[in-house]
Amino acid sequence: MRHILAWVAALVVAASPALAHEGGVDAKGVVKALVADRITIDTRHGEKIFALTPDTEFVRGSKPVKREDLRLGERVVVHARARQGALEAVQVRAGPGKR
Amino acid sequence: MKPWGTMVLAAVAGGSLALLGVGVVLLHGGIDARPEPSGLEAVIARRLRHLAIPAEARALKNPLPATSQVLVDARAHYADHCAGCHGNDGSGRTPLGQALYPRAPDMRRPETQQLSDGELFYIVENGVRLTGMPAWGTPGKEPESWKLVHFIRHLPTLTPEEKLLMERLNPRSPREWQELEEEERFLQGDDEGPLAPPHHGH
Repeated sequence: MRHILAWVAALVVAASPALAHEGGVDAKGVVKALVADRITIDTRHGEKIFALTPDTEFVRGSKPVKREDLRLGERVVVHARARQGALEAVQVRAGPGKR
Repeated sequence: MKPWGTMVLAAVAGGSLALLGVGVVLLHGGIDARPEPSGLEAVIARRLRHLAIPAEARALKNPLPATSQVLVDARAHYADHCAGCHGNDGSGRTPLGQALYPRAPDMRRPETQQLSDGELFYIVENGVRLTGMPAWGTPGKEPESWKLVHFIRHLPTLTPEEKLLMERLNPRSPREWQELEEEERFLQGDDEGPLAPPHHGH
């Protein structure tokens, strides 16, 4: 068990510089625009645009949904990564929220 | 010098040059883990791994049946212990997995799926030297590794629903749990204040 913990600790320490620059971005906001290849949300600090890819996951509550199931004006949390100067959405989570 | 002496010298010199060449090829980037391993390096590493697993271990068959309960158990185990590097979907596309040298493999691909049950079990139990793969084996806990072998076989057909279930089981830091709770509250509309600012996740 100690060996396992030591390995995990070593991996985390070894990977931490890469993680530090991994470029993960989370944003909370309401959907302002939604098209095939991007989603625009209004956040406290203004508008943010995220690229959508075939790998982007859409989730409502605890169930996977399709992009078309998202509605304008609803609250979402976007988990994204920086890639080639753009923010690429990895997962878009939606909930019922107050609209 | 006698002919056999010349031959020995030539063999030693040739071997040394070959080793030097391999060393230069393998280490020309220093110890930098960021470049992708070369094709030659990958082929050599896979071959060495294959040879290093004893034939009797390679020939082992999974003694457990792939029941739904076995897969549920293995899914939870995998989400907790393996997904940090390999990803819930086995793609290896995680910050940790992509920072390793060699990268965590996409286990849905034939390079992994075509390994025998025994090879997968051996790798889970014993790890792979000079990679990020630790030896997870604990005496008496072999069935856990055999269950994981079943789950690795299941990865190519993992459903989005299963992935979401696994996300709830992935290890998180206290800060990540707090962020998740804040997200849930936001999505439920429980916060009455202005929209939260974007957060840079590092």
